[in-house]
Amino acid sequence: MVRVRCFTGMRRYLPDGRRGFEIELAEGADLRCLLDTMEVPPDIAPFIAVNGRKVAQDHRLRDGDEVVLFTHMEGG
Amino acid sequence: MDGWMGKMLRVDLGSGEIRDEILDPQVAKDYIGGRGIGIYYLSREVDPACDPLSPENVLVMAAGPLTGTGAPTGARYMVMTKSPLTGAITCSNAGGRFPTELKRSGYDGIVFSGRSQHPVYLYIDAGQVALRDAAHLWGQTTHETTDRLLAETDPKARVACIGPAGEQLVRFAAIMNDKDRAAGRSGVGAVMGSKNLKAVVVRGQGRVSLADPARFKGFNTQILDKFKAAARETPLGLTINGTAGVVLTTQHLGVLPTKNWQQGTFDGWENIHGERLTEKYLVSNKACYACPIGCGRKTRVTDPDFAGEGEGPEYETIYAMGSNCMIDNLAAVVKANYLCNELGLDTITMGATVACAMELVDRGYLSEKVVGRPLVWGDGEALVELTRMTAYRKGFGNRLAEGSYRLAESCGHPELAMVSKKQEFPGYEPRGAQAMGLAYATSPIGGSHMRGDPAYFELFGIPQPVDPHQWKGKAKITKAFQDLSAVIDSAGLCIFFAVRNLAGKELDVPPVGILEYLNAATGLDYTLEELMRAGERIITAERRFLVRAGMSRKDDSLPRRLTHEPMPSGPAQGMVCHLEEMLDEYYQEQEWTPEGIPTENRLASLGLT
Ligand code: SF4
Repeated sequence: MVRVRCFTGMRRYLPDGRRGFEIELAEGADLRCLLDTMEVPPDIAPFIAVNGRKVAQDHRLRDGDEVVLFTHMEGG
Repeated sequence: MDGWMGKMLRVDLGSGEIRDEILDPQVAKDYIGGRGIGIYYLSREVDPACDPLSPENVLVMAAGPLTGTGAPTGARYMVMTKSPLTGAITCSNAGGRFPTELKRSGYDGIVFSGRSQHPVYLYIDAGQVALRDAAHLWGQTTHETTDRLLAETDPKARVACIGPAGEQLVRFAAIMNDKDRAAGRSGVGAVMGSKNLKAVVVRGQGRVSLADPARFKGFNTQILDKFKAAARETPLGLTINGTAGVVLTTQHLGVLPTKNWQQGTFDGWENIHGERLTEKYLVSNKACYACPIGCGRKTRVTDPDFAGEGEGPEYETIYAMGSNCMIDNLAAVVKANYLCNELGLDTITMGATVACAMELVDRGYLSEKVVGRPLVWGDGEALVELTRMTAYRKGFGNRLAEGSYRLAESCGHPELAMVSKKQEFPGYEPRGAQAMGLAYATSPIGGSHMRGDPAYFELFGIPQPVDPHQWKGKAKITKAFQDLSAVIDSAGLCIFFAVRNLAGKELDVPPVGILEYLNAATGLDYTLEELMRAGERIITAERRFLVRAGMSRKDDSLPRRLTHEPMPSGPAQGMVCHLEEMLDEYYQEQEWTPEGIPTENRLASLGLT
């Protein structure tokens, strides 16, 4: 089971009002698989953190991982 | 002239003499405006060794050629002077509506010199300029001052003023315009206070003329259409959650400064994140003149302990007063932000100085008896009370009013002040974002992100992602971003729009979009090369001022904590900032000596001899 939380622009890939979900993924699935399941178009490259660390889309997920997805943060 | 108004206003506060001065067209072209014009005047008229709070210091307020033209975010002006916090020059900028009104009043900028015998304010209205008595405003907050001035002059006028903190010469007092927009950093408000200048009120009836309105409008439509289409595709974080949304990024990259920079992640981050701000306190977005982003936040807090209404907080405030003090009570942070706006204080230095005091107490270097109250990590009530005391220099507030460096030094531990050139850092940890450390160390104004912001490429991936942990090759990109910032700051634009929408997608970020706007507005036919040279000229002229004030490589420094103590936890665990290695590369890029002094050749090639 992987826990996924979405912020900002990534919320649009969730049903209305939802902010996250839990999902069972196949053995060896990577972040791209997860994004495909969520129907995120390939040209959208969200910020991905797994267990508090930034990772690339080919990072493989493991049972119990906490995934955070968000887009376009800037300024300061 | 087109774009520029072609005129500067000179105000000698000592003699009361006021006169117009033609803005030399060649100077305008070479230095663009805003920040560039500021360093041009300071270089000629201020002794770099002078006491910043003496009448010898000069304070320049200058808009840019794109301010007030309708170019997106062409809303800004720059305040430049010698800083009482750093002893270096400073440039602090703000948007809102005041800068556009200044242009419409017929001036590109104002140069204040000397010191008035008694409190005054400057009033500009349709060619009439006068210094008026401000005795009745002394002691008033920035909001009270603004309301009273609008009532006694013209409700359509725009006001920039100082609060009690500027009057009390707090070393990090801000100049506030349109009530809640801040030229916040490095104590520009204290310089205004030292001159007995309470406020500047402008009413403009004119307009900014454009050299080629059709070309300007055509390009503007093209840029805005592109911007809007992209924002429809992926809603802009800045619009949704303001700059406060950046907590998400810094927390997950392990670069959210926490506990006076002892950690790079904060357990309570979700309580201070922009999303929480939006849900709990947002009343509406607020945009500066001609801005399609609207990152400003109108907010209201009803919690009885921290009730209030106003604008903010920005990300920098949330880091400085939140994670850095281990405070996850957002209402307390918002309240302290309101107080800073009303009393006229820089939120970054205020929060960072309280965090430093918390660590000094924690380590037993400062007693709570001296502080006059308990001061432990996470105490939001202490933050609010100390902010108020600082603005009036009451009790321990008098020590805080000197900033974290002087406070920590007086306790025998200057290494606990998280500063460069005695100015506190914004909220990005150089151990996990190497170029950020280089930018802090080499920024002419000390710890700042706004004079060349590597967070764009290291943290946000704009224009391209770059590994934040790698130090090699960072000098070149950092220099390119510093040059770009000099152009943005001088043209009168906002970095939040310009970096993403008006610069090239290569890592040397050529200001291609700004070039087109400038040429359509001014008719001067800058080449890209000339515009980039102007950026370099401004940076180098600022550096020359610092060198003349006695600064060199030894001042381009970071606290030991960042260069020698590995980050204890989080995504940047084990990292230190490789400043010295980056500095060697950086000086070569700049054509400065290994000691950080611009070479004669470099100065000559930029026309600075
Ligand atoms: S992005 Fe924010 S700070 Fe910049 S001009 Fe727009 S509202 Fe003002």
